[in-house]
Amino acid sequence: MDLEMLRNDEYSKIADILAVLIELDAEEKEKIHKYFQSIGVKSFFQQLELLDLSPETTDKLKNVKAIIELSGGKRGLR
Amino acid sequence: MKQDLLHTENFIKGLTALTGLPYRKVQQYLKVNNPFNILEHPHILEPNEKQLEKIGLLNEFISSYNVLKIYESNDKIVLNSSTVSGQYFSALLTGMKDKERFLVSFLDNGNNIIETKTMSEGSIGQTAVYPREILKYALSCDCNAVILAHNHPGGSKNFSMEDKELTQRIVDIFHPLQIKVLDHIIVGGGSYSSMAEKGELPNQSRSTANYEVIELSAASVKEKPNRVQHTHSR
Repeated sequence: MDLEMLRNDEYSKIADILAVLIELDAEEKEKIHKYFQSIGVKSFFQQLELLDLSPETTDKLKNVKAIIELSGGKRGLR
Repeated sequence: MKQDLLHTENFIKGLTALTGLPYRKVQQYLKVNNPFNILEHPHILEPNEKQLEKIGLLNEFISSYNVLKIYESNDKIVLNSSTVSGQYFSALLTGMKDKERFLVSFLDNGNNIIETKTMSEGSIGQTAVYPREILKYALSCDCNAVILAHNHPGGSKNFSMEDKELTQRIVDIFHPLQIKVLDHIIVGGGSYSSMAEKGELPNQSRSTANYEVIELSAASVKEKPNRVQHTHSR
């Protein structure tokens, strides 16, 4: 399985979802997609304040971050 | 404790800003309920159509984020818990709203994915699974275990009788070959159920291997969603 290809497909998918969720324009969506590809989604949300995004988009992304920060529960271990 | 309260407060702010759900309503609900109930049971706060759509998008986002966390933390993807498996297959299957897709992950002895294959895909209720094909891939990649997964486009996370029969048929084929069937994940309604987690996964052959084609039934499409109640470790 080509992990890099899977990862890139998932970056496109998550950027599309995010664009609809927080109503991004095409330019901002593309910028975020490129960030995902270069630093990954985990680092993206960790370094949100450092990124070159509009204050309005950053605020919306902080709301998303607040949701994912609480969603780390583990279920049964194999 | 203070940190938990802060996280919950931020969660309420984030959720209400993103979905448009009323702040006070969410705050009131969370005084006695788990925050994720709102995402797992989208209708619970009686959202309007727009709010419901946003909750759905948020669930899709979380699924995708979780699988990317796995991709980013490992060169190899290790399906070592029902949580990781559920998140992995949710990300691959959540977007399939008008199709059924049946996937199999073939794992090595460390539960690393050797390969994940789409074994079948079709319109709702018309998907056929070919056990012989699954066996062919399993033998060609010399796997130690497999995990099965498919989506219920109707949103149900319940295991239908057909799903259980299908799992038993695969176990009947693989058990004599000492290839473990570790789990069967059902993805529906933006979330998932794990047959292993529910303690419903067969671990013994029940009859001789039968390689006849297995039809995925449309019946499960109409079932009502049901939340996983029980978890256990393996």
